[in-house]
Order: sequence, then C-alpha cells, then structure tokens
Amino acid sequence: MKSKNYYVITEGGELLYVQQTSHPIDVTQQIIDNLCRDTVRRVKNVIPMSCITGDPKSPGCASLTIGASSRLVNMPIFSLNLSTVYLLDGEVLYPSFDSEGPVMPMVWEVPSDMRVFLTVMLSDTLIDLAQYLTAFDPEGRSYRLPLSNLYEDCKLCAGANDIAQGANLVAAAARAWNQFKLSNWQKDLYASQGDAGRLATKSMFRFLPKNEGFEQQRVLGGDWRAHCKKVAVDIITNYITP
Amino acid sequence: MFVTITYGIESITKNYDSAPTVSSVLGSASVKAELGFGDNVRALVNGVEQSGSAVLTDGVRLTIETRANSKAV
Repeated sequence: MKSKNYYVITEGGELLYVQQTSHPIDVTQQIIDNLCRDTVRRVKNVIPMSCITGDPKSPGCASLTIGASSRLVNMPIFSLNLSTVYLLDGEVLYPSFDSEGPVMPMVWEVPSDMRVFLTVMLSDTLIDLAQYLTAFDPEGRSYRLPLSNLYEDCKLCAGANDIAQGANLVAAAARAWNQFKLSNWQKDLYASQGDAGRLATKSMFRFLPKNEGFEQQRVLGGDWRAHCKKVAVDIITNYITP
Repeated sequence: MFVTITYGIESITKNYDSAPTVSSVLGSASVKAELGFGDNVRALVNGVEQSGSAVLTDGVRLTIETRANSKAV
C-alpha cells in the first residue's frame, strides 16, 4: 500500500489537504480492456510526410490517433490535385466534375488561413475503413470543401478504387495518399450539392489562363469559409481536429 | 431552464422558459446562426440520437452532428 499527502488549490481558490492511499488490485484482462475501450491516444507530428509520400521535399508531419480498435493517420495537405473537367466562366476556369470532357491536372494551393487533412481510418489489422478530407479554420472549426466525391460528413467516396492496405501504418497511409493524389475528381455526390454547391465550387477553385499555364485566383470574397459548409461529426471533432 | 447545444468545437447555453423539444432547437434560426449548422443534422444526448418530439430536460447537453448523405450520382 502506498500513501501520500498533498495540498491542492481548486479552481475556486479553495485550499485542500488531500490524504491518498493506493494499492494494486487483481483484475482480469477483460476488465482492463473494458476500461481502455474508449481511451484514445493522440500523437502529433510523428511521421514525416516524406516517409509517406516518398518525396523528400514533402512538408509537414502526419499525426496519429490510436483507439482500441482503430488507428487514424492525419496527413496535412498543402495543395490539392484537382484533376477533373473544367468549364470557363468569363476568363476563369473552375471544376465542373463532368464525366465527359478533357481532364486537366490543376493544382490548388491551400490558402494560408486554411488547414486541410487527409485522414485514413484503419482497423486494428490495418484495413482501410474510411478516408476523410476535412478543412479547418485557424480556430479549429471543421468544414466540408465544395468538391465532388465527398459526403456531407467529409468522408471520401473511394469509388471502385482498391482500398488501401499495408503491412504497417506508414505503408497503409502511403497507399491511401497515393490513391488520393492519383484519382480524378468525378461528379459522384456532386448532384446533391445543388446550385449552391456549384456556386461555392466556382467561388473557391478558380484558375486564370496565363501564358502557357494557369494562375490560381483568390477565393471570391476573400473568406473561404463563406463557401464551405461547417461540419460536426464525432470522428472529426474528437479524433481529427488538429 | 438551461440547455447547452454543441456543434463541433463550439457550444452555446440557452435559457428556455419551458422545456423545448429537439425539433424546436434544431429549427431555431438563432441557434442555427450562432452555431452555423444547416438542415441536414441529427441531435444526440449522451451519444443517443433523439427524435424531433423528444423533450429536453434542464441542464442537458444536446450534441448536434452533420448527417452523412447517401450517394447521389
């Protein structure tokens, strides 16, 4: 048996004298498992993105969220590969996600006041359960980008692509990353966004043809949050929010 | 009576004269504007989804979540 005595000042300013005794008790592994069932451990910035992408120039580090039966790898995204079909609005191109037409491999740089994460949720046997693409403002509020292939809760529609699996967390994350980077954006889930969704897309992802290439234009109105839906689901609020 | 309404990392506490229903909270324009949610949401108390007719009790914390839509190609 161990004992210790100490003083505590409470939030209300009260001074308490605490007498504490503790001793080990015999419990079964099942009891320990039940006690730990809802315990989640978060390890921030633990895997350099270069280990996942294979590119030594990749900036940032991925974070891990480890629960009893799942592991989440949160990978920061600084630019989105928006390979899809585009339409011209005046002088500016915007993604239409149409199923027919030439696919253009545009790259959209994430604004400085936005953080975007690709999250892969893996089972304890490292099977890919789901992937999420979530944007955050500087205060940590979560938003759904006005893109196709995204459910209302920011879960990615992986379509008929192979699910990501790997021998370890990094390999599984790398497969999910490569699948995300190499996939074209299609119109899946886009119809349900309606006219408001299309207007938001036009306001966010804008490219001006210039010389031989394209120049990314500022988000219309300056505040990207005006064009994104605020999202709140347990997995984002408690496990993905940076 | 007081009800705390949470949406993501934000929450507000509202004072009601009488016990509100879940529907009245979800349909409140002022609550929607303050927390920034739309119509495609569900309400939970202690992790359990509530029906619209459920009456909220004093001191309860109502968690509002975005409802995932179905695939619409």
